[in-house]
Amino acid sequence: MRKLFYLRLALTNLRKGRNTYFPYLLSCSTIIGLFYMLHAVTMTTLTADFAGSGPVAYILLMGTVIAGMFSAVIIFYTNSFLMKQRGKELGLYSILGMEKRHIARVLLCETALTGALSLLAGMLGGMLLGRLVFLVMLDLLRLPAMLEFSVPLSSVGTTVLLFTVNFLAVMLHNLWRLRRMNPIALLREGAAGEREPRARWILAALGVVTLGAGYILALTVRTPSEAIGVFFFAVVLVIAGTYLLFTAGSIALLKLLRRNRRFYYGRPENFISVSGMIYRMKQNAVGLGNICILSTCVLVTLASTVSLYVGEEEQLRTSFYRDIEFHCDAGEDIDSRVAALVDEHAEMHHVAPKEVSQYCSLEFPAIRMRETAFSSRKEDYESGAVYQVVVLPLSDYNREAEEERSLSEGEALWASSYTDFSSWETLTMDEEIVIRLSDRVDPPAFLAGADVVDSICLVVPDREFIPFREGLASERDISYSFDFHLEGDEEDKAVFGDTLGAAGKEAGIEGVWVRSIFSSRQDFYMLYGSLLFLGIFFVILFAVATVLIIYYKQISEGYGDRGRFVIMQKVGMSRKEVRSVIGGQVLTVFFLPLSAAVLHVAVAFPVLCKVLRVFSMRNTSLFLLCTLAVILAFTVLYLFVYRATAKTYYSIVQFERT
Amino acid sequence: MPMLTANKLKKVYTTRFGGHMVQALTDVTFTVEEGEFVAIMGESGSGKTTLLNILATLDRPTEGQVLLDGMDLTAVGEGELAVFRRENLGFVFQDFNLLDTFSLEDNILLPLVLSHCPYEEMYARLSPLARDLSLTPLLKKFPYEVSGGQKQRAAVARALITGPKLILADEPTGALDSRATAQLLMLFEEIGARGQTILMVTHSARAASHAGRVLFIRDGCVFHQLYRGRMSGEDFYQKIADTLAVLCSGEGA
Repeated sequence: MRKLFYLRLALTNLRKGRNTYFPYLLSCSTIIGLFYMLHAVTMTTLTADFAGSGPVAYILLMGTVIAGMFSAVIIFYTNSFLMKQRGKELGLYSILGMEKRHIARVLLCETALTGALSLLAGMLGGMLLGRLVFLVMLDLLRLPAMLEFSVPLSSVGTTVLLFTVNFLAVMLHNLWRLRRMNPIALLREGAAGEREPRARWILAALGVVTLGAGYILALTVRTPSEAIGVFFFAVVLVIAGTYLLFTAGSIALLKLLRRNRRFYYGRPENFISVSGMIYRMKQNAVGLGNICILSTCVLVTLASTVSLYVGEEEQLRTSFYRDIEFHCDAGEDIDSRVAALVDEHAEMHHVAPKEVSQYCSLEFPAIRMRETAFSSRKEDYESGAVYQVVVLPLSDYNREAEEERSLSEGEALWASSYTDFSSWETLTMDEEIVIRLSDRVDPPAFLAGADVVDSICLVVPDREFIPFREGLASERDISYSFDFHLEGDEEDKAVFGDTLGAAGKEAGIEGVWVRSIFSSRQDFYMLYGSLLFLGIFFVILFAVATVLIIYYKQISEGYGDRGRFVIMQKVGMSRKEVRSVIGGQVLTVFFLPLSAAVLHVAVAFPVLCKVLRVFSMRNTSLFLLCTLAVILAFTVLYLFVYRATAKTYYSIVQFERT
Repeated sequence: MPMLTANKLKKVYTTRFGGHMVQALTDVTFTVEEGEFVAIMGESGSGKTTLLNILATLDRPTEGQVLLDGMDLTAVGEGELAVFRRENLGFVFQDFNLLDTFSLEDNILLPLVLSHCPYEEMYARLSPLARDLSLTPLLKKFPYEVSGGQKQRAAVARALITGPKLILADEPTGALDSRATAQLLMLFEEIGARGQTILMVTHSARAASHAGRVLFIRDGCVFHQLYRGRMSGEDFYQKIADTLAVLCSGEGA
């Protein structure tokens, strides 16, 4: 009987607070459903056996782990937000004579109820939609919908376990909050008025510095390999800077504005907004920082995965300037031997090679030691910037680039991806080889795709090509490449590509290495398809969290503004004026994080372009288009959420009555 | 010509449910001369608050008119009401109604900022006022840092700073302790002596005894009025108390 009482009280609380609890339940269910679906899809992919399922399952598994962590954090965070709002209510219980252990029972019942409800709803929704989601993923991976999708018991188990633990943690947190609660203080909370926040100048300055450092780091990256190394640090700096500026920076700025009397007292809007914003920022800074970071994540994730997916074919072409690349060690008569092999193999598979491109090259990594010197010695690898060096004989270069250049002894043409060597007179390699740098040329087509690291291509006179190899410290062999397009039936071409390597080895050619666009195409589809699939999942997850935070912020703003609103009317502001001033503040609070997120994305754009180059994505305009489209779509969603939640806000503030 | 004239004011409310008609004011007529300090007394439900709301232009009468300095308040358009209120009326409320986001200084300056007053002039008006109300050392403090009496003094300063024709005070001592109450009433008397017209709604005989005249309202009508004349505060208080006793006993209605 008594137990039922607490349960009934908990139920009543949930029903009464549906403005706050319904969104919470909805988001918890969505998050649980999302996690279940992701887990189920991963499990199905793991057990399924299709070409390329291994890497896909690996990517999905990583994604599932990260999604699980995020889900737990979001649920935990939202709950603490909810509990903060209920301080007064719990204080009242206490005044009305409930002991803390009684309140604890109510809270226990509430958490158990919400946990059970959202688990149930989430799992049901996940099971219903799971098959559909799986089909969507197969479509993104461009696989036929032939795979069986069942309800994996392990997914059910993992999801239930994860979120039960999650809700237990939530429960413990609530009880801990209750323990520390001081009922009288809680009851008075609203009336006492909050202390004005201090301006923390040092933290504000630190925010400017960290954000600036992050931005500069992002803007000064030169090469994709550098971008990958720097990206993480830049992200950490920007996140730290964002939080510092939202918390300390905003208040410092507002206080500066308030000190400027001409500005502050000059217009009623400035006067009311500046002082109002100081309090708003104090209460909301962290939440707004969260919205900003989450929004940035959404924008970056979606823009890059979508553009990678859309640009798949183009990236393939960047990575493969010819359908098939046949590389092997150079040697006597290698060109005729390879040509004969390819012709014979092509005839066997009813395909025809065309646009053949062949060249000898010497490729090795080298370290830039001093101003004009490189070293290819292994022991120097840690001591400077790494360059990929490609040496070509002049005749091969002239043939492939359709040029008729000539070089005198000891001279070289050069091309590079990022560094400008124009000011160098000579270039010294391993202290032995000294060459004079002549004209800068465009890198030949077969090197165009290799721009992940900084590279330099040297074209040397034919008779100095072999001596260059001999003077080199690094033990690299000259390789011979025979690259071509294929004509014929799609399936024949794929089989040709897959078997050419074995045929080459059989023919006794050394160091055979074949790259085929046909087998890579599948890998690309798998990789970018699964990345996009994960991207969409994360975007939904982040969007749920963002929407939820916006909603709860609106509610808490509403309660705070109600009193202020009435007073301002009494001291001689018209309802319209008050509405526009307060509406302006609320708008600022909500669109500040979005603007900051867009700024972050804009600054990150160049470095993201570089990172995407690692995935052979070089179409900057496509990425720009995707980014703009994603920003637009997200802004529309944001506006929609804002408008929808603003209704709750206005009903709390009650603009109708004075 | 009187500063304020209330002429045959009538207010009828229709309750939201059931369309029940409630007559809050039946027929209220009175005048207030410039520089007068008038208290309005009455029981809860007597129509005091309705009357004050109408005088404050927060509400409109069903019938009758209010003239402030010869201007008909009922004829002021909805759009100009806020400006009118700001420029002609000063308010002092029971619960102070100070904004917690502003320092006392900014709370006092609020009406001037709303009227786009240049800030040099704001300060020129603020400093003598703050000195008179002994608020000078408190100006940079926030409402939650000062006592109730200090808050109410700031509210009075806010009402005075625009140089209003009329100060409307709604139970200004309701939330104050006895010492702060006495101080505030002395302050009102002083302001009144300087020629400021004040209309104060109260149900405390002690508070009303500081006024120059007391109007008693019952059942939506002016039931009686008392002039202080040359009476001492204590005598006037006694007289008000006696009148209240009669008022409450229901005789003579």
